[in-house]
Amino acid sequence: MSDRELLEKISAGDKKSFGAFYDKFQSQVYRTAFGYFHNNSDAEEIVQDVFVEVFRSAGKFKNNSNLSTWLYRITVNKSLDRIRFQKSAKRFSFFSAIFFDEDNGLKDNIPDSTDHGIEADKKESEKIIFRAMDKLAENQRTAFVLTQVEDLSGNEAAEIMGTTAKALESLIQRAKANLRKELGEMYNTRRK
Amino acid sequence: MKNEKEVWVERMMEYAAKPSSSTRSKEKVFHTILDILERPEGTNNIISFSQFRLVGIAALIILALNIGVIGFTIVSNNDKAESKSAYGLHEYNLDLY
Repeated sequence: MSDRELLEKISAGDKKSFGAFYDKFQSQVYRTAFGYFHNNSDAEEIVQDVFVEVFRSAGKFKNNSNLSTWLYRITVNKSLDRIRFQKSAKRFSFFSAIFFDEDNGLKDNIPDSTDHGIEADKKESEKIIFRAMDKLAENQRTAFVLTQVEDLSGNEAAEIMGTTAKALESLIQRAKANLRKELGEMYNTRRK
Repeated sequence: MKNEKEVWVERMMEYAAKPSSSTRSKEKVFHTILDILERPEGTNNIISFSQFRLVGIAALIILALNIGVIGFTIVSNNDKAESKSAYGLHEYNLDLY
């Protein structure tokens, strides 16, 4: 059964077809989300949000569009929504901490590691990368995730973002430059 | 030849481009999705960023109104106290004369 046929059955409420669709595209959605958040918990929440959206919007999918592009767009939008929500929630937790109980603050999103050795080193590196990527502008972050993490071509990524290939290339270069700069500053801080 | 800092930055850039991810609970996530879909629409607890922002703005407006009311109450109580003492002073003067 083709992807479009699966989507037609999903729009009719067929949960078995939905399961097959999920099996096929879950890892793509998860990888993209992980590229934004660098932790399993948030990536899994995004997977849930995306596939709930797919089930509810399957009937609205236009047959002349690319299914993969549609799915990536939903994933990017859900990821950016969550990032904005987390940033607002952090600001609000600071505000509420002034007037209310100090324990009202939100849990830091950075994964905590109690492992040792190579696993600990990897998790420490991921914490650093997450902090650096968190400072990128949304469009730079998206351009980086789609092209560097997902290995999409410039044209595919530009179509998902609704921009031109040239503009996308500029975003990627700026994202890399800003990441390098941020990582360089983190290196200097660690050495002190 | 790259220095230690440049080597470290490039290593981090590689990690950023290829994060090690795993779908440990693929089945569990799918079951959660099915649970969400079974709830009537509009009752799920996933709120959007715009809903969250709306609640935040409403809370700030309510807080500002409360501060305004409290401030007005304090000021008007002070005004009443001053007029009371002025009344008392006039009475005192009348007593003298």
